[in-house]
Amino acid sequence: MDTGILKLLYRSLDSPLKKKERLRLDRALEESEELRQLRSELVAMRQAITEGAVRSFRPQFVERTMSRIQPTRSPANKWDVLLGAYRTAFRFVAIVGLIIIAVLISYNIAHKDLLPQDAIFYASDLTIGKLLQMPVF
Amino acid sequence: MTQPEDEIIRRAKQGHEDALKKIIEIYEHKVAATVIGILGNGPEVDDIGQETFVQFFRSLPRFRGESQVGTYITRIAINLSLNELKRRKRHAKLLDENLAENVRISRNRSDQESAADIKNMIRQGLQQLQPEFKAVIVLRLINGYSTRETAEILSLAQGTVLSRLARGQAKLRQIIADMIKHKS
Repeated sequence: MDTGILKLLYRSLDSPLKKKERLRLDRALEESEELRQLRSELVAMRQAITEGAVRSFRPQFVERTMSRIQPTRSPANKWDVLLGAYRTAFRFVAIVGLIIIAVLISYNIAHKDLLPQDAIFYASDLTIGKLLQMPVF
Repeated sequence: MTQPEDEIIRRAKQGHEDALKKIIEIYEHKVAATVIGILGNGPEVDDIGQETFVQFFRSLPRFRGESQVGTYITRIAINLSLNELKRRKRHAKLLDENLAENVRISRNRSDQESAADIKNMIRQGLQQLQPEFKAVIVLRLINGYSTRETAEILSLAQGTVLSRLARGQAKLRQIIADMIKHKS
């Protein structure tokens, strides 16, 4: 059988053909009993596929699915959501803090002639005892 | 999205249980036809069906309604079913044994139920097709999507869908012919 005609036959079942293609297929169908037979078989097979499909799950599918999605909406998970929100907020604070520290250290390094080595990295020999003895307290 | 469907989705996004339930009720048959069409009516299809809805509900905050809800859910169902097929492929030997057993059972039954047997044969034949052919046949012929919608769900060109439909049907016809020949 002509491959081009076969392609047209299959395509005609799922998509409209151009006028010229339609005429070519109609002519071929008129002339060939084999092609008409094939078309009938395909139509019957497609119908059987459509009609024979199983379209339901086991009974109580809705209930089973609902009970499966319940845990994701339980209070325990609300805590997870809350923790997630805190984590997101503090991540931002931590990143901004790191950027500020990096900028300050860079600034100090750039002015290292004016500052001692310890002060560049904010490493001071100040103790809590000394701090408490300050006039402020 | 239609107006009532829009309202159901809005309520589902807010976590209203009745809306979630309604979505499952509306789309259960579509999902069942897709999953069972691809995988056959095995014990795991129920689980894949449930997982389809679980994934849809998880993705609800990101769902903006650009595509139809049905198309969106079907896409999830197709992807999960095709993944399951891949998993099964790894257990191909076991599957072959099951298939042979199914064909044997069907042959015994066919003497009494010839009309049902044809549908059975078609169902079994469908299971023997390669996933890419199976997917287009299920979406087009079982779910009744147009070739354009089928192409959208599978992210394919319409020409590819038409060519896979043609090749899939030709192969299915051959498989069924072989089954009949073998039986007689």
